Amino acid sequence: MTEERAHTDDGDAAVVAGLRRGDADVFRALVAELNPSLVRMARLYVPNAQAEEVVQETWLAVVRSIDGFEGRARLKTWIFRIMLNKVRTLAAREQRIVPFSSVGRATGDDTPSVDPDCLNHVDLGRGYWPEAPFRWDELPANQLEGTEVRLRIDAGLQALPDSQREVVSLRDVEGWSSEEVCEALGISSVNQRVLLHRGRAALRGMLEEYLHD
Amino acid sequence: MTDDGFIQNDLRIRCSDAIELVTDYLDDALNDADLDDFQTHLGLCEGCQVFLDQVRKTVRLVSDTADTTVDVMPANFDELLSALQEKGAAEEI
Repeated sequence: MTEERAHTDDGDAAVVAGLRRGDADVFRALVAELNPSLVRMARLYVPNAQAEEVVQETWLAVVRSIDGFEGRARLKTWIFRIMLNKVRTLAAREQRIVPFSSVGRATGDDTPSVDPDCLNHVDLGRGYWPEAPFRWDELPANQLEGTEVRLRIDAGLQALPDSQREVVSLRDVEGWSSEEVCEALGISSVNQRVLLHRGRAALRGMLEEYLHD
Repeated sequence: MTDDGFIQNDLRIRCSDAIELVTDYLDDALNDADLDDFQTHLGLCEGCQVFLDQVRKTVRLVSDTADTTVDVMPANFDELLSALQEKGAAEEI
């Protein structure tokens, strides 16, 4: 096989072969593995009911075009990109702002992760913590893991620039690897980490502010 | 003053620089020189240790927000399966 296939998941070949011969168990397992993720991600662009429709159409497209799958990307990211194209088209039709073309020029990429005014040590000067930050992360579970914090995080995710929200959602909500995210979103690994870092830092700042009383 | 950007203290790098390396550190994506600076700084700086812990905690809390009530199977699964099997059967002929 060509070098392009070298990074492809070894398990993909067996799954693709199963799909091509119409194996119900292989298809059921693949759908069960990826469907919740696809629906959650589609919801970043369109309302819930539409998201589910888009994902159903995505699976139909997978069934119809699996014979053309060349293994240049992982099967998972190939399927994700089918969903992405559909959901972007739909969102654009509904006049929603879709961020993908602006990936890499996300607003706030140059914003520091911590307000520079908070980094001013009495002896060392600017750029150093004056003292360790408030340890909100050590608060008891009932304060950190309740519905209220969850809602705050949801709102915090919604407030992120779109390109950051996409990367944080795939990495930290869906648990994808950085390689998978780069492939699915068509971005460089450096760009992926910048977006992830900005997004995580903003959410950390939001939690600190919320929990600091 | 250390505002000239030339760091001569044992911390190697400023906290503001260490903070920006956290995600690369967690992804094992730092080069050897940056990793050495980061770890040396971290070993001496409580503020950055706390920041790193808080980023880890943030990631955990964010991952806990995943909506697990989403249907595992799409509503049209039977239809999809039929389409797949019809296509598979057609190819075997």
